[in-house]
Amino acid sequence: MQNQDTPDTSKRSVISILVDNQGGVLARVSSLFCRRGFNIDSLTVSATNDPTISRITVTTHGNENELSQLLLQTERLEVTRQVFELDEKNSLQRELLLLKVQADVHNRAELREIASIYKSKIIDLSPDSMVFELTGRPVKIDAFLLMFKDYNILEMCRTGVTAIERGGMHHHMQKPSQEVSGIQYPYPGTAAKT
Amino acid sequence: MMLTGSQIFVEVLAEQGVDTIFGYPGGAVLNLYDELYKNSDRIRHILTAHEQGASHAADGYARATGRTGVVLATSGPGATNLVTGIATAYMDSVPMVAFTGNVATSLLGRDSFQEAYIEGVTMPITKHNYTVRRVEDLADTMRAAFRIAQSGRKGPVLVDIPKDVTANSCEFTPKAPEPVRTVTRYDEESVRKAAEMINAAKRPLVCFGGGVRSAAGCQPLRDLLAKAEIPATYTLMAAGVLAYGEPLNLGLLGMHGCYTTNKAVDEADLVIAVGTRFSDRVALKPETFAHNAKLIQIDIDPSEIGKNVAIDLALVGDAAYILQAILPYVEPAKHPEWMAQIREWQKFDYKPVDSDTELKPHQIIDEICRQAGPDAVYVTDVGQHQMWAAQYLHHTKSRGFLTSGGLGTMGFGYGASIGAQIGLGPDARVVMLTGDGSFHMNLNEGCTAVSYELPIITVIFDNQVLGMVRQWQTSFYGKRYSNTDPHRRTDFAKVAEGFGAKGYRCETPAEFKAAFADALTQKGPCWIDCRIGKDEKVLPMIPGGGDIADIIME
Repeated sequence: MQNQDTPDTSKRSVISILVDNQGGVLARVSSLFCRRGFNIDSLTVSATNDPTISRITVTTHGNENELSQLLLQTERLEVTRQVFELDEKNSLQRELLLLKVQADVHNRAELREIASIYKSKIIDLSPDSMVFELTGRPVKIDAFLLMFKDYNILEMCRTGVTAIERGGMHHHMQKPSQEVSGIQYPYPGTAAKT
Repeated sequence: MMLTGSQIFVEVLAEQGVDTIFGYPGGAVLNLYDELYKNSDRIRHILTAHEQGASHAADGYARATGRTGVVLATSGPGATNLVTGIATAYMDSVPMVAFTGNVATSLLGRDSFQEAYIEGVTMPITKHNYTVRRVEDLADTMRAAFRIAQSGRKGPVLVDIPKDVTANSCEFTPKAPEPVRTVTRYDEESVRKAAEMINAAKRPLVCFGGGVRSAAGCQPLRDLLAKAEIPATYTLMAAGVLAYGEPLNLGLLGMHGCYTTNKAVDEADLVIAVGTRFSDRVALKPETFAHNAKLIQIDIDPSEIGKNVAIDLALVGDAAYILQAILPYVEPAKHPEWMAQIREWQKFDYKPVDSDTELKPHQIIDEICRQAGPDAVYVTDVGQHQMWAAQYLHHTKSRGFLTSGGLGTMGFGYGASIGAQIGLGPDARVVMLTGDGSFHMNLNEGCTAVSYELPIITVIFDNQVLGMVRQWQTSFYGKRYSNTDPHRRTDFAKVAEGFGAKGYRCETPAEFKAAFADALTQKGPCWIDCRIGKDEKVLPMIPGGGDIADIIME
C-alpha cells in the first residue's frame, strides 16, 4: 500500500524464496508480506528437484529499503532456506496465460492471425469462443492482451511470474548456517559458571 | 522403548533440563496432566489463576534466570488466554516454549468444543510454531521448539498437541539437548573498521538495549567503556546492566529518559548501538536521531540492522563476542571535553521535589531500594510507575529489572513476579511495582502467590486514575479526561486479606517506611497500597515523534 503523501519510489521486484516443503509455509510468508504492507502482485509455488524444498516466486512492488528489510525478515522465518531478489537482466521470467475470447465465424480468422504472430496456441475452439494459451515474459503477455481490447474477453487467467537465473548455480547470501555449535559458554570476558 | 505421547512430553522436558513449568489444566491436556502427576518429583507444575498469568510467569521465570520458560494450557480458551503473554515475550525476545492441548486430530477444523486454531492465531507472535499431528513427531518437534526459542535472537515458540497424540504410543529414543547456536555474520574487516571509528571519535556514546542483558556477558561492554572513556546510555530493556552510580552510566534514553542522555545522542559524533532496535520510544524522530553522529549497530538479528534508523556500519552477531573482538583494536583514550560537556548538561537534568508529608513516587522508590538492598529483583507493570521505576531505581544487576518493554502489557507484573520468585527460589527478594490501573488487570494471581507462599512485595502506586493516559490527556488533549478516572473504591489492603495475603495502606513517607520494613519480615505475599497524587507526572518527556528540542521538563 502506498502512502498518499510520500512520493512513489516503488519498483517492481521478483523475489525467489526457497522454503521447507511443508504445510503452512505459504501462510507464514504471505502474512509477513501483508504485515509490512506489501501487496503480492503474483505468486507461484511448487516443489523443486529436491522434494523437501519448495520455491516461492513473488512479484511485488515497494520502497527499496523496506523491501530489503522485508527480505531479511523473510529470511528470519524458521522455514526459509534462502531468499533473494532476481535481477531482470540475469534471470528468465516466464508467465502462462489462458484467455477465452468470444469468437464466431466472422472474426475467427483475424483472431487466428493474432495468435500466430504471438506464437500463441489455440487450445479450445467452440462455435462461440476460442481459448488461447501463451507463455512468455510478462511484457509479452501484456502486449498480447492489448491486441484484444476490441474483442470480448470472456475469461482469463495468468499464472504469475515464475523465474530462474541464467547460467550455472549461483551463490546467494546463505541464511547464516548457525553452525557455531559446540561450547558457547562461558561468554568471553565472563567467569566460567558451573 | 514404547511410550505414550504424554510420557514423551515429560521425558523431553526432563531431557531439555526443564524442572518447572507453569500452567492450567483442562480437557485437552488431561493426559499430559496425568503424566505430570506421576512425575511430580521431576517436574514441578505451578498452577496459576488464569492462563495469562501462567504465560507471564513463564516469561518472568525466563527473564530472571536466563533459562527457557515453559507454559502449558488447554485448547481453545486456554490457548487464546496465552496470546498476550506470548506476544509480550516475542516483543522482548524472551525464550519461552508454550504448549497447548487441542482436540483430537479427527475433530480438528470441525468447530469442536474448546477448539481454536492457535497455530494460526500465534503465527505472527512466535518465532515459529507447530501442530503435532503424529505422536512419532512429538519428541523431535519439542526439541526443535527449545532449540529455536534459545538460538539467535531468542523468543517464544508454540507447540500445539492434539489430545490423541498425547494418548498414542511410539518408540522413543532419548537425545541430549542440542548446543545453543548463534548467528555470526561479522568479519575481521568490520571489526577493525568499528575500532577505527571508535578511535577517531571525539564525542562517542554507547547506546545499549535488551540484547546486552540477554548476552550474559556485559563485561566486554564495561571493558570497552572503561578503555576508551565512552559514556553510555541504555534503553528500558537494559536497565541494571550498568550499576546505578557508575560514572559513565548516564541513565535512561528516550521518551522518558534524561535530558542529558537525549542531548548526548543529539550531539555525539559516534553512536555505538549494542543490542537495541531504535524503537519509536527511543528514536522518537528517526530522521533527526543522532544526526551529528556516525552509527555502528551491533545486533544478533540481521533484520534489525537499519530497520528504523540508517546506520553506517553493521556487525551481526552476539554482542558479547563482537565487543570482545573489537576491544583489542581500541586504543585507550580520554575525552575530557566531551565528559565536561556532559557534566554540564547533567546540571539541567530533571530533579523531583521531596516531601515529608506526602508520598512522592521517587521517594517511595528510594525507600524501597534502601530497604530491599542491591540484590533485589524488581518487576513492574506498565504505565507511570514503570517509568518512575526505570528512572529512580538504583539498579545494580542485569536481570534485576523485569518489565514489558516492547508490547507494554498492563497486567504483566504479578505473573512475572511469580515466575521470578519461583525461578530464583524463596530466598530471593522480589519486589513488584505497579499502578492501581495495571494491578486491577491481573491481581487475581494474588491467590497463586498465597498458595505457593511466595514472599513477593507489591507496592501499588495508587493515584486512583489511569495515570499515563491521563498525563497525555493533560498535556495534549486539553485536560479532557476521557475514561481515565474510573472512581474505583477498591481497598487493596482488604483485597489482599481476602486472598490470604497481607495488606498495608500508607499515605505518608513514614507509614510507607514502616509498612515496607514489616513486609520484609513476612513469609507470604504483601501488598502495600501507596496513595499518591493524581497529578504526579513522569518527567521529563519527549512527545512521540519529537526530539530533544521538544522536551517537556515540567
